Amino acid sequence: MKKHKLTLGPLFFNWNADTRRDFYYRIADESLFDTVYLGEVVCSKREPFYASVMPSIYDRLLASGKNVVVSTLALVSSEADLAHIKNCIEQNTLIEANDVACLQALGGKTKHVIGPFINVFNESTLSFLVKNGAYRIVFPAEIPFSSIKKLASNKNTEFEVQVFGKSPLAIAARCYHARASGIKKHECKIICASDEEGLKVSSLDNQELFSVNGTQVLSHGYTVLLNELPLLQKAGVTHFRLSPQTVDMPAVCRIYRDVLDSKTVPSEAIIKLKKITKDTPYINGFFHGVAGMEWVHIPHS
Amino acid sequence: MMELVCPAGTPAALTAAVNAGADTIYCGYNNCTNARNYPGLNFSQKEMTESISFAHSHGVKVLIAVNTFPKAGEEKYWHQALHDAFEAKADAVILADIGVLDYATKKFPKMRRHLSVQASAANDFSIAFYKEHFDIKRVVLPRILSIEEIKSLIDKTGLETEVFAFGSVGPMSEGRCFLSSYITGLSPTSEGVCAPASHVSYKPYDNDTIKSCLGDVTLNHFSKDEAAPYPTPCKGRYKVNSKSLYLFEDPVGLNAMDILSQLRDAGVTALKIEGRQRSKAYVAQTVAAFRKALDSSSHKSLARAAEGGSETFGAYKAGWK
Amino acid sequence: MFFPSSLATAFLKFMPVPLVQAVTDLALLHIKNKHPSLFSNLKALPKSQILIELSDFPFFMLFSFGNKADASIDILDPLDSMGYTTKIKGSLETLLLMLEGKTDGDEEFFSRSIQIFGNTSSIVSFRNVLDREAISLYDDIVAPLGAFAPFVISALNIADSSFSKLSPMFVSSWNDLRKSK
Repeated sequence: MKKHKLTLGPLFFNWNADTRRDFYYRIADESLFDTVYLGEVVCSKREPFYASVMPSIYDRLLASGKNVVVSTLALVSSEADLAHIKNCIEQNTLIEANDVACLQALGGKTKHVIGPFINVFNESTLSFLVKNGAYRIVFPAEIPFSSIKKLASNKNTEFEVQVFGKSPLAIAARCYHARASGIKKHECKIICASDEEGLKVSSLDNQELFSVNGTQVLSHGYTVLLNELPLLQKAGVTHFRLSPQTVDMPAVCRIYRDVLDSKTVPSEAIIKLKKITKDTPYINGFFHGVAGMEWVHIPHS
Repeated sequence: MMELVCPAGTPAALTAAVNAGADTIYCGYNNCTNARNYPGLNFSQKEMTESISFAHSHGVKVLIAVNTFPKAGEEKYWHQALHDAFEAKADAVILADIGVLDYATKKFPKMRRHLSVQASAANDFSIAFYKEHFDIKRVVLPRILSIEEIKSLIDKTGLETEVFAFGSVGPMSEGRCFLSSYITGLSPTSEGVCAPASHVSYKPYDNDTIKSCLGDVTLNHFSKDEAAPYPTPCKGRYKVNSKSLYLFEDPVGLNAMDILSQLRDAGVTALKIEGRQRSKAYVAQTVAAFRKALDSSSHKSLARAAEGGSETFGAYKAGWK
Repeated sequence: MFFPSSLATAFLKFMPVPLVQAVTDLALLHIKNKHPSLFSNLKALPKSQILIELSDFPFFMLFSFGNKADASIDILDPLDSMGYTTKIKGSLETLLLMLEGKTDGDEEFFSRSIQIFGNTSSIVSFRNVLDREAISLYDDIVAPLGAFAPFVISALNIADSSFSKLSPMFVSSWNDLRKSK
């Protein structure tokens, strides 16, 4: 039984039904992920457009031996959002809660995952949520390693950290994709579907800063915690999340698997990863307790 | 009559608010336990105790914000803030972190607990969770809800609600916005700062234009005649698809002065004026204006005091999204 | 009691720099005597220097404080005003109103009646520390000016639109001052 698991985080971007199906079938057939998170985290308006393919994706993943957890919305601010959460809970046993509304709907009776959109920064919060039924905690993007080290030493709980992909920075009720096009959320025409990795946002001096994905703001660069994997493993982190991007995710998964299994050193893994991710810059600032958009190089022994 | 809840960043501002007619003041300790942790601002325990005593002698309540999220190993500072608030006889504490809420509920069961906007509870299920586990008596509502949604929440939860009526509006879900820490390494969640002054600078860009920067990131160019917004990432001007725009939020302040009766009819308990980091002059002016508006039907324009020199109803009118 | 900033503007415009420095030092000393806590709070801040460019004057002021040293204001020739990382630009009147807490600094900034350059940290810290005090420049400075008062009065042109912003109390005490000289 592997001690350190690789997970595929929930897809943030609004890919169309066919793209999703092809993507997840490949994940099922070709990848080494142990757990896959499915479900709409960003905007409940999107789901009807791809709901038809989800059952077959779900079945294919389970058939391939992967665990499936259903992720829920990060921000519940309407009746429609609440209905969406309740529906997920009714239909599925393994749930990732990303808004406290979901915790209330779960009623403290069902074991669940706490997703990265519920703030777990300290011991008391961790303790409370575990007593309330959380068996795995996915740390928020902002948490520094100094905190992870203190919290993940708890051996009775599983801990997950996002180690690849654009980091989620903020979620809102307002849709920024719509706003960028000068329209309102309620008449959005689902334009977020036109940007497979989000819409690039730069400063007036052309510094590449963010990716906007509907109501969500993500980093422009990919968080890459390959150099930091051994530290995370040692600290007690059990699950390592790769967030879906448009690159070859099964190949990215293999690179991370090899580092977790000490078959490749991080520096070589980064070289391999660069060939896959091409021009996208890497960031790791949050881990090191500095500005999230920075890249901190750590030398290797 | 709705309760007027007013900010105080210093004892002088608290006095100004009391004199201007506040019903309730909210403030914080001079450390990272609250979300306005700026140098020179906030109260020592001595100042807090004296100020609360002064406020109480004028029939004014005081709420203490302990609304940031402790980092692992640092919870003792938040616990100390709660002890101090209890000793100082605060009328309530405003909390966001689940661990801090849990501690406060167990150690100080009789100390009133309000739910901070940093808990981002924007629906009746979330609010019910905090009510069931931590017996919160009031919720400060996120600024993303329309009046209809507020009314529906009040009907479903039966709790007191406090809504922002004036000041700087953030468009993101509060308490989990990492834009500031992405650029500066400091955040409103843990350090209690958003776009801290230590990282803000203004540089001449050309003859007519000034550039505002957060760290090394350019947040805006503005001409000599343009109103200047707060240099927070959500108020920045950015380039998207070759167009430059205020992508996340326009540089305006919220002012719900014209819809007070609608908020009252929806059942809102209290109006909150934002601005603990603003001067006592701002506090005096805004509190007096809202006091007058609440006591009568007329109001004086507060446009100049608002951010960017202009105002909006924000989300309270549907269509803001 | 309002500080007669228009009076000060008229007064200072005609004075040579060394005399302006002397008057400024005297004013600072008077404020320090009346507000010792302000100055000890300033000492506790990190070392800071704020260059003040007065839009209606031919010289600059460098306000230094922090790092346990006494606060000071140096009058600078424009040629010596390069190289400072923080600058605030505005009219003397606006800055004095801000000093007394009669107007909100953020509001003046939003409306562009003051401009800020460089890093804002020291300005924000100073503003927060200052806002705790109740500064009345009239009580702290004008009264002690004493012997200068007649010179000031005769130099001033009374037709000043800013008078309309001043309180009736000031106008009445200003008139008393004129009558007494």
